[in-house]
Amino acid sequence: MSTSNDEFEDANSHNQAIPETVTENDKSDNSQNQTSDNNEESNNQDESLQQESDPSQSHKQEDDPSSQQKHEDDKPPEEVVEDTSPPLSGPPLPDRSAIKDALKLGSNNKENVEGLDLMSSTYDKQSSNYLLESKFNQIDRSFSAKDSKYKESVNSGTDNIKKTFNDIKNTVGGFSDMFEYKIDWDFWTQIVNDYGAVIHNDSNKLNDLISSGIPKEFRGIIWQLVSKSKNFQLEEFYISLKAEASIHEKSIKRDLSRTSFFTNVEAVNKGEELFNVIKAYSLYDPDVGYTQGMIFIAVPLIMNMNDAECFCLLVTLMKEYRLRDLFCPEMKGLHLLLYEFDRVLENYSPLLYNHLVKQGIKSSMYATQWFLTFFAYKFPLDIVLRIYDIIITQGIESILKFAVNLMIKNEANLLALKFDKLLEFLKDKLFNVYINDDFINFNGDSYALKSPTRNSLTGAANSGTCYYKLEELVHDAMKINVDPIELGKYANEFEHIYEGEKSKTDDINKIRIENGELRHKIKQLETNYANLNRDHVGIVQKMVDLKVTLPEILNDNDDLNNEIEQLRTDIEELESKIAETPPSSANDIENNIQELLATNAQETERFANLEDEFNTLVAEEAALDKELKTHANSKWFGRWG
Amino acid sequence: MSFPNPATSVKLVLLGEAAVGKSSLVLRFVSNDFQENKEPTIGAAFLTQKCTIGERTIKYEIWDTAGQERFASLAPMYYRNAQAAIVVYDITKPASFIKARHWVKELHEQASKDITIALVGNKYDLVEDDTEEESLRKVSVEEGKGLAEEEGLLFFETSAKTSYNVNDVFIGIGSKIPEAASAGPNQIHQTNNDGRIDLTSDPNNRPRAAGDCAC
Ligand SMILES: Nc1nc2c(ncn2[C@@H]2O[C@H](COP(=O)(O)OP(=O)(O)OP(=O)(O)O)[C@@H](O)[C@H]2O)c(=O)[nH]1
Ligand SMILES: [Mg+2]
Repeated sequence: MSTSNDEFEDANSHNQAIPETVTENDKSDNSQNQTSDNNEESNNQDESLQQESDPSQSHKQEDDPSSQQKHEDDKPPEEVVEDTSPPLSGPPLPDRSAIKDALKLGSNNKENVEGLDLMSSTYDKQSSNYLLESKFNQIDRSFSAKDSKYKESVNSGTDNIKKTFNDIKNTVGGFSDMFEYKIDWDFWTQIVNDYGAVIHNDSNKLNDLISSGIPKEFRGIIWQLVSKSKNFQLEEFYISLKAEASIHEKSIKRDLSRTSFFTNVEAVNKGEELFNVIKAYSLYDPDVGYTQGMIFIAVPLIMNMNDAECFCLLVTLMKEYRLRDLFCPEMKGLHLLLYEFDRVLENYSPLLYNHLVKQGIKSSMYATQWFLTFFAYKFPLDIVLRIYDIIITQGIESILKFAVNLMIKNEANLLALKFDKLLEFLKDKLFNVYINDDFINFNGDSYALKSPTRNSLTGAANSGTCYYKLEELVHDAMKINVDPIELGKYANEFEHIYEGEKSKTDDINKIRIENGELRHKIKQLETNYANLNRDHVGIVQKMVDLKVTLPEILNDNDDLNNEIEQLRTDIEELESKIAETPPSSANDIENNIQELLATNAQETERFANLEDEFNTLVAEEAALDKELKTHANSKWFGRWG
Repeated sequence: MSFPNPATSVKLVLLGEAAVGKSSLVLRFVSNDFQENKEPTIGAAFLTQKCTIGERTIKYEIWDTAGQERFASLAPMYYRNAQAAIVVYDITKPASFIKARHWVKELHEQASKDITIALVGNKYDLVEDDTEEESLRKVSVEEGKGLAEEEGLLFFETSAKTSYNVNDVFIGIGSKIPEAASAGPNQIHQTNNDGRIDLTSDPNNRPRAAGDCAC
């Protein structure tokens, strides 16, 4: 990939180079979030490391001129901030270069917070000049730290923009009389030609002019010029990225089709271009990839410049304006901004702040969408464009001015509302206080139901017939004091809270894991216990059974014993009987045999006699039979004849 | 916090992958409306809606969260005190079902122990007249039901577009929310019927059919 991407890789290598400063807490987190760290953030890590170590080591940083530069420039305020926290106790503070730059307006060597407080009274908080200047300084310094190729590329981009401006001036400028509003071409030309000089010499007028809205004819040009975004090298890179496929393509397409802002873009045939810009960014910065909200950020841009320029400005907003911190996976930048918002609001209206707290409403519930989309999510485009004018010239913190101002302007309304109505109001009614009186009369009391400006393509800056009192809105917002010193302190507090929360979550996670292990053990023990219990029950049952059968067995046993006794006596008796009777002699047997033989002989003789007798009887019977037959025949025939 | 209204307040959070139709389900439930191109939610949106179930009136305080992974770190703030959660997936997108599984797991681990969770497979209208061979459906009813049974969740397939089953989800959740979570059953009984004695009320809090829901 080209140079622009190298910067992110560069950042990563820096992170890896300083493992010894990373606390235990961090290490566990690094695996996921290290890569998402912003370039500047890691530079910042280097800074704090340098401050703690031997200053002579700083020559090692020569390969990274931007870090070197920052280190020198930022040292005084950095030290002050570091004073309040134990050195190297946690990760270094996020880069607050815009604020630090502002701190240096009055003096260069402030040793303590009181000194800073004193200094903070030296600049006019009623104007936003100090933010204008600090943003300019920051962009300028960051630019001069870049390599010559980059500078050359941006410089030729700037030349190109200047040329475009002159073209516009020559074509449109001649017809100035036809506009309802007047464009101060001379002053804008000065701005285009040397923005830095105007900042130094005429910052009040510049501030007024920008607060009144950059003319729509060259709004995109001023944005690019102030942010030094137009960069031919990056534009070329964009052209090559445009042709590549991104894993986020599907999500981007899906969200484009369901973004109502998109209809505006499509009306000017820039749908395809917007898609390409978002897709290219997802490829350019894979750690951030695509996040819902980016489309909203890019819509006002694409409507004021071509797609390559839009890509460059988006990249610049992400990197130089630290918008990237808001979109990176942990969204730490968002949480910081929300915290700062809470504190500034608390300062301005403790009553309102406490009311919100009591109603259980956190700023993240309603302000997340303001900050992630620069108010583009729900609010009318012409308001959004004015907000962009301020953010691009004054830096991202200036969004707090708009946010807090809207809260203060609606204070009475908000104080009267409870939880759900309050949230509803915060969601889409805050801008109603700035609806033009004409429209309120026209629409009766149900004002703000339809805002025609959502459909306007480029916004009607300076136009007299605007739906919203834009002048008043911006003017009021600019009066809100977003004091860089206070912001610095808030950021410091936030860092402590954030780290505390993080270590708490780490602890909770650790405990959760332990808990899980213990639960596992408990389960094992429970199954063991259940098994033992089952065995125990079995054994008890057996015991009971045994107890029941034991008497029976005992009885049986007694019976058997008795029987044994009985048998024993029987045996004794028999034995004694046997002892009494004399043993039978062979003689007796012989006698018996003789006797029996004699009896046998007698019986044989008797049998023979009986046989003879039987034979005679048989003969007699035969004779009698014969006689009977003859006798019977005569008898029978006589009777019937 | 006490509301003048006697209705039971139920904090409900919607979770699920981007573009599965969370905001559309809420829009259907709250305004009986559907938008073909609903804007992606940034951060979270808050809405309320009352719903009568049996003799109870429930006021849902709904947090509709942003589905994109990037916003996941904001979600705990919304589900931490929630009594109910709807985890939504798109039945034509298998990845959204995997994400739903993760949300259920996270809720079980991090949300209040007695939270009532409904698992909802949305965009039913897309598969309604599908043929067997050619179906847009990528997550079967059985898969959804299986996960719900495994994890003890209510389960519905819905369409925010046709409003199929949408009210049933909220009624189903309402009838599962224990009465104890309410502002006190007596108070509800006295004031809910404008002082009238309701002879027809069913003491079992039987959930009514979708059409009867007074939302
Ligand atoms: N066909 C069909 N489309 C739906 C249904 N529900 C939502 N959609 C569409 O799906 C897209 C996304 O719907 P959203 O309600 O915005 O989805 P979400 O879950 O709120 O998305 P995020 O806010 O990004 O998390 C929109 O274009 C809807 O019109 C549905 O039931 N059927
Ligand atoms: Mg949504």
